[in-house]
Amino acid sequence: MRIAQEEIFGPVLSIIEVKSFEEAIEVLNGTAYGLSSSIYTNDVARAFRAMRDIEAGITYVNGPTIGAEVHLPFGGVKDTGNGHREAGTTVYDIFSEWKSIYVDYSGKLQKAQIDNAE
Amino acid sequence: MADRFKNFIDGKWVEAKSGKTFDNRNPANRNDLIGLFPASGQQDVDDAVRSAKHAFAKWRLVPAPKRGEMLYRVGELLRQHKEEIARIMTREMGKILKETRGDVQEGIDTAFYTAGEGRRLFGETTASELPDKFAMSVRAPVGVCALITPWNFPIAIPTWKLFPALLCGNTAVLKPAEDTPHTAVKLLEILEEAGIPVGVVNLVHGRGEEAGAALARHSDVKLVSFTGSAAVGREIASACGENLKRVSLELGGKNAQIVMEDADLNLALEGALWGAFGTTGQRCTATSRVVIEEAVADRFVEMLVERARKLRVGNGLEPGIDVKKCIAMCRSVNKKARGFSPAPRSMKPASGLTVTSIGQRSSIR
Repeated sequence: MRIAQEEIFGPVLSIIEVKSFEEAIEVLNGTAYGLSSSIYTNDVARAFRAMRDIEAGITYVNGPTIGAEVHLPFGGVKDTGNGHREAGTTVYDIFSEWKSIYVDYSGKLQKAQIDNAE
Repeated sequence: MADRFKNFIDGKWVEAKSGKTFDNRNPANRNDLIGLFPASGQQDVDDAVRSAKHAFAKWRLVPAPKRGEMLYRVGELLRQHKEEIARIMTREMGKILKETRGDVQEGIDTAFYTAGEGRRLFGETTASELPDKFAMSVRAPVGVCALITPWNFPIAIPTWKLFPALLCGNTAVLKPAEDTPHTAVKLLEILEEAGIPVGVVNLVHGRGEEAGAALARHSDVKLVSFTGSAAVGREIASACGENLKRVSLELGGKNAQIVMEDADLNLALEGALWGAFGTTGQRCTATSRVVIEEAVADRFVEMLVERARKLRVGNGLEPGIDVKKCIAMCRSVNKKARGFSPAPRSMKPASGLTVTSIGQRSSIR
């Protein structure tokens, strides 16, 4: 059903009943998106299984799906994005290029993978 | 006479080259005209990118700790102007004041966090396999970054893109959503006051299809960072892919909250109310589904409906309001909903389900 699949971006909440923890995870993962998620439980094993099995960039345990802080990565999996994470220190991988630098002070030509071959 | 606001290009406040403007109105009171903003096109984008490219030559050489210190000053000014910015934001996009203050706070947090990173921004050193040879990696800036941002977090999202971009030594052109241009003007005024050099940050207002598309396709833009709909994200990714341009996308969500029968139901209820109806459900991380075990479903729905009925919807500037009016509805009424519309325009209730009131029951699976 579309209301359970498409982003509405408004104050609309669907309630979906399930028979078990496993089915809950399956339903949660059953959309094209994977940004935020949450589980309310007092069973520590279920909490850890959810943290492992939920397909999302962000998972809250005993908290709502909103409330991100600026010093942890923010973003999602699947159709939520293209693999980058804003915020945290991961944001610097978006906005910088890695440059590798070698300084040879031997005064002669040294060949990597060749000069020190066994 | 309505106030006229401008683009910020190469350190100057300028109109669109075409002279065209668009209206910005209060979503809670359509008679409240906030002002006229430049409807920018290709020429304006060209000017802004040229300015950013020119400034990049010097900005990339400013030591990162110095760039961080400037961002610290930006954080101090954001803190000083927090209430003023929150009120500007509520007026133009409707979120209640408590939430727009939180939005500005996120910008303040990002400024101070990023400022500290100026003295880290670590690379790596490692041993070379050869004698008398040193090996290391360092972070280098990318170049001119296009930042295309949505209306739902008019300070938090532009700043969490912009501040790290600047810290790394990039320069930027910001194209904010056409629904929240006034907040962006205020942000640029603060950057100017903090001493960010001329051309390092440029602001271009306008529609996504015009200013946004021109910016994403510009050959001197080396990176596009976009937050918005999945449909527009795919278009931007295609345009960037053709030119092997770096692109960072933060798109849709269909976020779910699981409630197990062993959960504290009152705690889960508070979470669902805030997650689904806080910020009128217009956060990318908003709770859109509750997935609940049957044993507690009826009780939870009863509790939820009772509380949801008590939420007060209205003008975010007035005290006692819990939920602002939905900006998408206002956009539709105003015939502004176009390519970047946050809500699927074709959305109709699926057959067998009518979304008419709080607590409507239906077989959904």
